[in-house]
Amino acid sequence: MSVHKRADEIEWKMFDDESLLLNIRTGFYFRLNAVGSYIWSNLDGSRNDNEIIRMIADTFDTTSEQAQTDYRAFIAELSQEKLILNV
Amino acid sequence: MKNEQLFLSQLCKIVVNEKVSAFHEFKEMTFNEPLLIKKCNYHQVLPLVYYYREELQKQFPVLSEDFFRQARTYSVFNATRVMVYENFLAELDKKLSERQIEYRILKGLVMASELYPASYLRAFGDLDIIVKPESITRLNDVLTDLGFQLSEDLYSVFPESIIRKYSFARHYIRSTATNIAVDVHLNLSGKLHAFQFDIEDFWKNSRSVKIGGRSYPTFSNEYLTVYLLYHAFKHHYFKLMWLIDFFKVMDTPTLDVGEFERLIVEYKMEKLWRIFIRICDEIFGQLPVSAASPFLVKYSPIDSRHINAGSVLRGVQPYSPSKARIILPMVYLSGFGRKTRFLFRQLFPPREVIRDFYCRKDLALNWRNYFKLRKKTILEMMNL
Repeated sequence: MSVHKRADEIEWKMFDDESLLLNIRTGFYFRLNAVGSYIWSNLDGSRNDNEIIRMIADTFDTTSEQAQTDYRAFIAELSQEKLILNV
Repeated sequence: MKNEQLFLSQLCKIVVNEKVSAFHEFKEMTFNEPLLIKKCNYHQVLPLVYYYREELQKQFPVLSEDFFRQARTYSVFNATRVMVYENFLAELDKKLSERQIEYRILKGLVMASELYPASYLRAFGDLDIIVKPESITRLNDVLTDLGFQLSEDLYSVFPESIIRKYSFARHYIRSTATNIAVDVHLNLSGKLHAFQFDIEDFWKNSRSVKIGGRSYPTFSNEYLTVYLLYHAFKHHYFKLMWLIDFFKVMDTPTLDVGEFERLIVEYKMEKLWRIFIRICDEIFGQLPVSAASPFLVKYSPIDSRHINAGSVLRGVQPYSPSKARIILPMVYLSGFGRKTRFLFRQLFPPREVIRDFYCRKDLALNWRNYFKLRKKTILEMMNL
């Protein structure tokens, strides 16, 4: 099971329930909604994908299937933008 | 007072008090919300509107959700901006250290980091730094390496010698995914300014400021405060944000009020302080804690016809920048002699100044041409 971690060159700040991400290398920035922020804050490399999916399902009161689908899609986008690393 | 002005004044009271003891509710009041957004944007207080929205919603229940949503959008933008600038500053600091270029940070980012509950609450347009004149060429190289270009503004048409001589600020812009602007100052006052700061003294009185978890050099609290007082008056306090900054910095417990007084006396800025405390009283409904210190309590507030709470809240500059450069010092300078000397110097600057700015190369700089060149300015003055 994969473990993902935030890339070093990403600076981020919480703003209410949103997260603001800045890629220092490219200068591009991104905004994450509440669920995205929750996932992002947990991508510290200490939990694997399954653990985070379970946490999402518990916190946001959704099925683990739905949580898994959303999580995979989100992780794919973060990877594409080089915001995370697969450790 | 118009409703929009009352709103701004209430916002100021909330910002400096955190909680307003006397609760007001302006139920009957109606607002032109697009105009209010425009005013708040002009005064650069939209992030404060968002931050203090609960108190404001209680006091102004008529304001729509959309109004606060717009304030939020601007706040998110500003929070991102702070992050962009914090990262850039770390990069710039590293380069400047490598090249052994001494610098100090001024205004916006320092205020944002030290005076407000969150750094995004203090909007700013650019990064202001000051360097010594001998470092400007090396600094230019650093900024060019980092992708900056000198802005094509008025100053870029002057040769290097004139920029140095009159200590003009240079405006650099980096146009990438995240636009960054840097204002490089060589001095805090120029040859033609109303006050002549001893810049060497400022350099000697420095400290560090924490921005984004890292330390950077700036001037000591008292010196920075004196400069803020002058800078805000020079611009007619036309942004409420500057007034809030100055109130907050005067409320800082670590400010050495005795030293601040020494500086305002040394630079003969007592009148600016006295006008400021009158404006404070009217807009904030109170004075900063430092105003009650034994050092400053002797300065009584004074009214000014030109610079007052009404003019600040209206947020409209009544004069063109060139007229304001002459009129405003006539308001805030103290003493007939100083006013006269300043006015005389503005009307009849040294011939070298005329040569530097106005004289065509083929025009001999004799007294006849000198007066011909001054005629327009003098006629303008007579029409004020």
